[in-house]
Amino acid sequence: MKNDILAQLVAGKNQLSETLKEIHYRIGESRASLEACENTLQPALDLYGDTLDCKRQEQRLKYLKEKLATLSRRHSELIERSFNIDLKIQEIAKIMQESSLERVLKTLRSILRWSRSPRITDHARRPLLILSVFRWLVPRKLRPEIDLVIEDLLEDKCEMLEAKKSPLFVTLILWWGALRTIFDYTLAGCTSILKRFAPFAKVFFGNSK
Amino acid sequence: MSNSELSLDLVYKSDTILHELQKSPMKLPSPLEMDLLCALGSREVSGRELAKRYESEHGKSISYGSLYTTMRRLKETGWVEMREDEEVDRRVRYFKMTGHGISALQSLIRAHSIFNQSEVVI
Repeated sequence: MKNDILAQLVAGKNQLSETLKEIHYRIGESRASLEACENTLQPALDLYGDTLDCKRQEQRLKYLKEKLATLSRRHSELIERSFNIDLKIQEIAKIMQESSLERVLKTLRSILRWSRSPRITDHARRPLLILSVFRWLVPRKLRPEIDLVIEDLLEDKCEMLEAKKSPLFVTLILWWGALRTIFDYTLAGCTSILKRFAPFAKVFFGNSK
Repeated sequence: MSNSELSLDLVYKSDTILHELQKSPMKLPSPLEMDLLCALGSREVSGRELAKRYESEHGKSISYGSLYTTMRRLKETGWVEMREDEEVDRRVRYFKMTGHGISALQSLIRAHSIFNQSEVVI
């Protein structure tokens, strides 16, 4: 009886050890297959990373091209203006040679008028000038925001000029943007002042029941 | 479940979500703040691009002043973070939603949809 039980136990132990061996073997197999999968997927992951890099580079290139176009347009504008100024200077020189002071003054006045008039290259001057004056009326910590608004409006102006919009349209849009910005900041200032006085109002009018 | 029970359940759910939101140190966003948060999404966006995105989504323009003021308020409440950068010839301010902002926006959208459902049921 005792021997039978021992024999059964030994048989069970052997069976268990075999099962354990099989499990270890399966685990080894699974690891090997996992490594094989990883090795197979690695080139695909690398390729995906390369593709992402390429896309980023393409976007960067596109952005740089746009910037280059903007810069070249500004460059041409500057050349045009400098050419106009050269012409005016030549005109002045010619008149000065004729030694007619009155005519020189008249030409100088016309140049001043020309520099103040809204030309195609100079639409943004007045609304943005107003904004830059308004910049000094807002608190110091908000001034960079006004600078950002001016930069954004300038960028809008460049886009509109590139899209061949009429000078009047560009000027009106810039005025609209500048005035709305001024209104928003004024409103925000008034609201913050009212919020600061709200506790006093509660003290005076809150317990009227 | 009857209609009245369903509507009560929906109202309870929306109440719970709003209560959770109000327990946080921030206040509930205004409609403009909510619209800007939705337009911002999870990616980093410059102020000008955000204004354009808002215009294309809502069909009306937003002034840069109002945009920067609202985004500053959202930054103060901790829903948005901002970064300044120098581009080729100008400075740009980039905005990005924080993790807290994303979770709050999700809760708000959920509350909004539950409110709409309860309106339909009632």
